[in-house]
Amino acid sequence: MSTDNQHYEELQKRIEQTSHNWASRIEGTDIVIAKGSGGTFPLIPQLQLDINTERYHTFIHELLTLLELEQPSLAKEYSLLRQSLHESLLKEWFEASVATNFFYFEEYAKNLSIAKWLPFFIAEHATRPFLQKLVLDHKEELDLADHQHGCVACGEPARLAIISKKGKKELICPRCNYSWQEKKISCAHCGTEDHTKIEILKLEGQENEQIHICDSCKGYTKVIDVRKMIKKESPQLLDHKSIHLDYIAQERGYGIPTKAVTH
Amino acid sequence: MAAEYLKFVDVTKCDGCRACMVACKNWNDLPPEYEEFQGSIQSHEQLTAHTWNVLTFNEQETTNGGFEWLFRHQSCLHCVQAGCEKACPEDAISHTKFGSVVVDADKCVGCGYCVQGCQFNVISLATYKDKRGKEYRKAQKCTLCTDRLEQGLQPACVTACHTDCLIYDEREAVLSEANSRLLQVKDRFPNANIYNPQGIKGTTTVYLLADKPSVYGLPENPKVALSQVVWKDYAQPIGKAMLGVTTMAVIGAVISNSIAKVKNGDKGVDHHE
Repeated sequence: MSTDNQHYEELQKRIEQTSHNWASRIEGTDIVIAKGSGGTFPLIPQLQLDINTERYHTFIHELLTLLELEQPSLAKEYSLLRQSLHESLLKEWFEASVATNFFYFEEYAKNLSIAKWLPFFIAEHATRPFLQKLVLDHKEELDLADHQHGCVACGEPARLAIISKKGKKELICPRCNYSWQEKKISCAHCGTEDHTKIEILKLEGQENEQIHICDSCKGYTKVIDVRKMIKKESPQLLDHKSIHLDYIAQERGYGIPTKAVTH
Repeated sequence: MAAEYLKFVDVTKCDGCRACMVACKNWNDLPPEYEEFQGSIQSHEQLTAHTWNVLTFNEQETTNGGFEWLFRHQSCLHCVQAGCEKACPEDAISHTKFGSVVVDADKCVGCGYCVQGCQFNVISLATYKDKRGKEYRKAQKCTLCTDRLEQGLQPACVTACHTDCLIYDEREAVLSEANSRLLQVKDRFPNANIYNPQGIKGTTTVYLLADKPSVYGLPENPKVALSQVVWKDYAQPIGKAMLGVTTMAVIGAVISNSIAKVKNGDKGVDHHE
């Protein structure tokens, strides 16, 4: 079951394939850490990064080309965005994207009179391969961190988990692909292990999908049992295909807790 | 057409837990079938219309005089050239895009030709009663969980297997795994072989057997009878085409006769005058 329409799902698959291709093209010299995080987490937003803006620019252009083919009705907006992007802006874009600075991108869209979601959408997708590369480079450091509230790599709130081949619950970040293990009966947001506070919602006829809801912090996590699936989908596609679980949880009053609860 | 994905049964990894049988009954909502003790710990003697997979337990004496079980997850092999499909006079049995062979219950008339056509004794007839108490029969067998495949899920038996004896994966990955496992088990099982009979153009369920196929009750080189191939692939289509031609000829004759009658009728009137 998926609420995505077929065309949108196909588009996401193509973006995902393109992104996978980008990740393999990023070289070690494309990301230089000018200043460390000082041991604080989430790690990546605290780092001062100098990236190869030329490569970042290429990714943005490639994504715009793909979207122009897929959605010709928005060609004018893509063209405006393409023309506006100069070398001097790219570093700013990357930093705003890492920090998920919606206000910056909304303002950018307003100035160009284009859809307000568009600049962030483009910047975010072009940024993800860099985040994923940083996660691979800092895996050991990240594994030692206390996993609190969300992804210790990029700061994205926890919302998706898979049941891995060994039957363990593995929280996975659809943004930077960092994953970490949690106890099955535990809340990814507040960390409670009180079984009276945690409920597991199962959908009729969807035996590999669950929603773990927490009555302690009113948070939820989508849990997908990938062992039962034929194709092993990427976290990004799993997140998209399970968007109906977000609707169900949010309609019942659960969400991503805004209060930074730690565990 | 060869399936993109295959089910692989590595019998050398099976520990006889029967979780696959339970998962199959559970997913397909099949009723339990109580059987008399057969003198073996095998639960059911054979596949039936309500038991679509059975774990067979063959007792085998080893070369050093010891004893071991040969287990086999027995279910439909989903042959590429399926005897049941060829035998069906109603076109009720067909291949899906997943390579699974399925029965269309609406088309099935319960004639039982498919039961005769299957060389693996997989398909059988189930008897049902309608509201008025009238009995009717339908062919039943493993569907490879086609309904699950459509949802992107693996077959129920595969998800239940805890030893990875059952795998559902891409064709190339399965065949490569089968070959590598064959090399690994050859020392322990000198007669080990991959069972993917080419006489029926292969199967969608491929086995790695620890001994000769006949030891497991499988035909060594199954083939669909020539008469069935001729009947299904040539006689039936030609027959249908001929029926179409005949129908068109009859309709054409009726129309031309009507036209001629009208013309002749006019002439007739003139003639009488």
